Amino acid sequence: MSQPPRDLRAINAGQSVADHATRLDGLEKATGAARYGRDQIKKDMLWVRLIRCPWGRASLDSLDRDAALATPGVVEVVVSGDAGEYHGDSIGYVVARNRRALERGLQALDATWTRLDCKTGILDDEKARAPMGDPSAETAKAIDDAAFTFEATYSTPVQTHSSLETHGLMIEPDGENSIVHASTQGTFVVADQIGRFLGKPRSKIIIDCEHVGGGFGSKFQIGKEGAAGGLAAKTSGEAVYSFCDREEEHLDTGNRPSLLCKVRLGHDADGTIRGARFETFGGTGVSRRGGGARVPSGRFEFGTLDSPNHQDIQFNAGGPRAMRAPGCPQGAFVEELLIDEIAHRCGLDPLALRRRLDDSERRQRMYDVAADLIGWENRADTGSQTGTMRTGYGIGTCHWGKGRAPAKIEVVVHPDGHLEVRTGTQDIGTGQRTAMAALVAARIGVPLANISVAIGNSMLPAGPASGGSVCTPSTAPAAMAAADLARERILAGVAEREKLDADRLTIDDGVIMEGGRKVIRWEDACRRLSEPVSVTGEFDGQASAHWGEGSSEGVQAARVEVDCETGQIFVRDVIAIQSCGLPLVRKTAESQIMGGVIQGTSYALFEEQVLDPGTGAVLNANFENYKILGSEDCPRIVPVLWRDDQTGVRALGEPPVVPTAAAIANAVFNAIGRPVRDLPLRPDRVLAALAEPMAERVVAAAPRNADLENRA
Amino acid sequence: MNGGGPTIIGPLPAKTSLQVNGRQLDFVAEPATTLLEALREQCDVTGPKEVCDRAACGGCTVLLDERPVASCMMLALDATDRKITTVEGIGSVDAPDPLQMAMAEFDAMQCGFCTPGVVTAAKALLIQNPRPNLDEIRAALSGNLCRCGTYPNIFNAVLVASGQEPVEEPTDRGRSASGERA
Amino acid sequence: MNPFAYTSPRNTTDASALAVPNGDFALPVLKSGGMDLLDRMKEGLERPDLVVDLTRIDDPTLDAIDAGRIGGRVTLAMVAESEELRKSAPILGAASGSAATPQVRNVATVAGNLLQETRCWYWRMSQFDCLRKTGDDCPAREGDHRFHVIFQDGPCLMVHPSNLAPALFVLDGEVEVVGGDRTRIPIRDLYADPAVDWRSASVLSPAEIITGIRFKSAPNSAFIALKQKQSFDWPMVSGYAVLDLDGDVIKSARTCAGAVAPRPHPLPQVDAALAGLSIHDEARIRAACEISVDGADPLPGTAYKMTLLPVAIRRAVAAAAHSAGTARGGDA
Repeated sequence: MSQPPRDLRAINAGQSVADHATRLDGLEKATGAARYGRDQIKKDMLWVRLIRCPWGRASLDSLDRDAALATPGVVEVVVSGDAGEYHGDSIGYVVARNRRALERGLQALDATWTRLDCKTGILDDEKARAPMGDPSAETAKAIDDAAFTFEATYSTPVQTHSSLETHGLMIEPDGENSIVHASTQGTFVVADQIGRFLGKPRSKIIIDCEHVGGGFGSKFQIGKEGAAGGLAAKTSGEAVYSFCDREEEHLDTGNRPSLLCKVRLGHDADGTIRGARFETFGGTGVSRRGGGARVPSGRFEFGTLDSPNHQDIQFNAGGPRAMRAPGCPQGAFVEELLIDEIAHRCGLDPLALRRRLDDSERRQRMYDVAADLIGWENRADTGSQTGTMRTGYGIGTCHWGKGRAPAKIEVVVHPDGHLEVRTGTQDIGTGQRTAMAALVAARIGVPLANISVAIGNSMLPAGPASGGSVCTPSTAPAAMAAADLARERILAGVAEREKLDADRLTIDDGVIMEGGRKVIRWEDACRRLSEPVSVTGEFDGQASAHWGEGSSEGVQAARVEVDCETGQIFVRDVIAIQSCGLPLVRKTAESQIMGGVIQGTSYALFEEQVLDPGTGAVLNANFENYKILGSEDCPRIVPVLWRDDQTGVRALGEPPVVPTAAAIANAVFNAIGRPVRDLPLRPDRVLAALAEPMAERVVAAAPRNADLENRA
Repeated sequence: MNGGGPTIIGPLPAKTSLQVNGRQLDFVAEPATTLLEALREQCDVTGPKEVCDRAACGGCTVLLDERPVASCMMLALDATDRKITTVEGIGSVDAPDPLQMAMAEFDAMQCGFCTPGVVTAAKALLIQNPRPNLDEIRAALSGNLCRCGTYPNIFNAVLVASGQEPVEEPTDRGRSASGERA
Repeated sequence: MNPFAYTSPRNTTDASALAVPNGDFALPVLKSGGMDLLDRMKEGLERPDLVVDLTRIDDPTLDAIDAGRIGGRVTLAMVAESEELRKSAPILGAASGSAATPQVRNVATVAGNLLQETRCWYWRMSQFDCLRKTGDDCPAREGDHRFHVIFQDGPCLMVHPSNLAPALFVLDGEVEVVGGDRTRIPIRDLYADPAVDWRSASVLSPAEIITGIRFKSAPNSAFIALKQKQSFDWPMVSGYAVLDLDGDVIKSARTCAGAVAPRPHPLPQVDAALAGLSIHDEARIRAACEISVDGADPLPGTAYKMTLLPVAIRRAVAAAAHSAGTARGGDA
């Protein structure tokens, strides 16, 4: 792909297992027929809600349990604590017959609290306010030996996952069993965790999560809302509905932690970085860990790097959970903006400097394509524009691996030729069910219309949680193995009946062939079965023939316009090139990339949890002031599936979210000539940057785009 | 209020009727019941989703006499004499509306939790404006949040459902017949 | 939401009577679209025992639009879509069409928009007491007040939330009311002086109902909202301008700022400076708009609004000069 096709429509075509297949549950979702955990509503079920601390830190003075219990419809009030360490921390729960009774019971509780001093951010900790520490002697020497020294501080905010379906579950008794309709990224995680609260053995618990309204890393555990639901179900023996509301979702279901990063480095006039020290501080709320950021990422040559200096900083807020490429978008923002700042100081095109500092051969080729598709040749030198609307171009990068875990997929061949793919793992919107169906169909050689999928239930064969880039890569080998077994079984029967050599039989579009000769239609071959045939493919979690090699790379390029009178940023285009290995279903693969870009754009421009500095109360636990990108803010996105002859199935959920904010920050820097080193890139910050002098240059600029021209 | 004044309903639960998707649905609820709660909790109409509960996300969108409204911020009693259409009333899996088919064809959803609201808001646009341009589509959907990030596909679905060309894009999606050969 | 009773009177006389606290109902409240009321009730900020529904009042004038009058029950969407208003006062459609979301605009009414409560996030959260509730302190002052005032016209630092009210300021609008001993209130008198009364959303008594708004025709009028996000967002700052033109010369101008003060903030000094200028005289128009921040006393977190306000006013003036009522402001 050294010469990118100019015909954009051709880029992604023809590489995937299923080039035109549509999401199997697309119509169910588009007609409202898809039923989520949150939709499992019964008139006679119990409603549960946690009693939560309204302040950053507070002790409980009083509550009126009797008044709450006297509220019509309130069934149970459980109080197990008397202090809160963050807004949204829980001290118990209330159970009621309906939602109004629940609200009124909580109100009747009339909890009164004494507010206590609290910390509300990384900078409330003196460790983070202290001057940078001294680098090791070796790093110090490398920095000193360089022609120039550069120091800067960057920050990123707390981002909440903001899944549209809130966390929670509905539990209904079913004879001896409990059926748990959960909004989860891990069918079997819920199965393992809920029993303790339900007081039931694993064998009596059935998890159902056929449709899940988003997770993004936050739904790997049942959470307090799930535990309270389990306890209430155990106590009452009735159906129980325990879901967070939107405020609780923002307060206490995890987040991408904030980051403060200080950098000191030495570089030469040609942009070579001789040595660097990074100090990172991860804002983990009340959690002790989880604030790590991947910076530097290892993608760029930084000379003599000081050993990692990371500290997790606690303060009075809800703790982090994994969020789509944990630690990476924030790290990429720092590192990529830093590279662009160095490039500007040295009068270099930032793409040229990246080519020098980046030793990934694949990303080198991606740079060419990204530059071509975004129109990098139109990029003006950083800070050279005047006027109100200024256009900027920026680049960001990523690299990624994939995770592995044991997985089983069952394929049932029915006598009518229909195939049922059975997998307990979940589809949280990634398109997992469609991917499995497409893979089995292609592997056997039958039309996708012959396949149905049963998914998201703990009675089905076990599979991994949707996270850590594990799910699709690990289930795909199992699906392939199951498909091969099913195919072999049918072909063996045909071979025996027709006195043919099974090894010479092929299946093409539902027709079993020998050489060029049609032998029998798939359906007719299956009709000979006396009963459904079930086969199970397994992936043992170790590398296998189907695993594939190599790593994922990504390059994104953004074009923005900045209104320099108002500080508003308009992201116009994002080119998103992403290693994809063997893509299974093209449309859902492209959707994953686009979704990553959109979340990354939203992170770049809008999203931040705001804590009241005095009380630690979260001021924007809603969709009014926790701002998420909407239809009128959405850039044009070109997702590029970069096959590169990689064989294995690779994950596409996490890596595309990594480079976007970085690319946008660089584009803004390019447009206005000053870096904005804090996310989100709010108008007030852009205006403040514009009030500063133009970013310093230590070396005269090279001719514009010299590097590109040399390559051309 | 006694005597000649208007009827006072509640505060205790009272019989209420809604006209939903061409059917009359009767239930007993107190006046402090939103339209969304009535649909989901009393009428088993769960297409409209409870997402933000403050009219900020569009997840609960229903049509009230063909106009999109946030059912979470309207009392059920305010809607008793109106024609209510939810996503279920726009089409079904067996008899989908062209818009719903285009949504599926263009993969205009991931988790799908926003999708009923998006479809309903987009349907309202197409009722009012049968051939909207891209800016009009963006504006009409500006009250619908999609966290998975499927907006470009939604725009294409609405364009194609209204007989127009999709926005130029990198692939030939949407140009194939369904029933793909894997 | 607390338990409440519900009633739908058929005329405003009954509605007004029902809205007065009495032996049966101590906390009646009027509701039209109900958008802001339900928000407050869900937050526990308001606990009425009777909701008096205005949507079934049998009075077509409540729903009528003509060149100089809009019924109080007309939705923001209908205002935004009105061809009549696009000609007579395009600023109204622009301001209405920019508010909230399509779903909200289909329900929210003109009267409700004028009477909605502030979006101050401290006020909106029930755990905070504040000056506007029963307290003696404003938590926003030492807190995070990025969306608050630059004109400290009173001790409360809220900004007025209405998109429509400042438009009525520049249109010399008035509201029609029933239920009291007056029938018209100039828009400038609808809101209490925030230095004196910082708790009331308006000067209306509980029984008074806004049945319509009246305004002068202003074909050269425009509204600009500067938003962080172009999809549903509240303006950081908004600018409103009405020009009376004689050819290319501004005979007189009326400007007003939104989202910078506890009430809509008229800018008479800008109006005076604009008078007599050619609409092509960009330098002097710019200079005239720069003084829009005269008298401002920004908070540390609202200093950026000092930059935005002159821009919003200048862009509104430019749009009004070219009769382009609808201008999104950001996406120039």
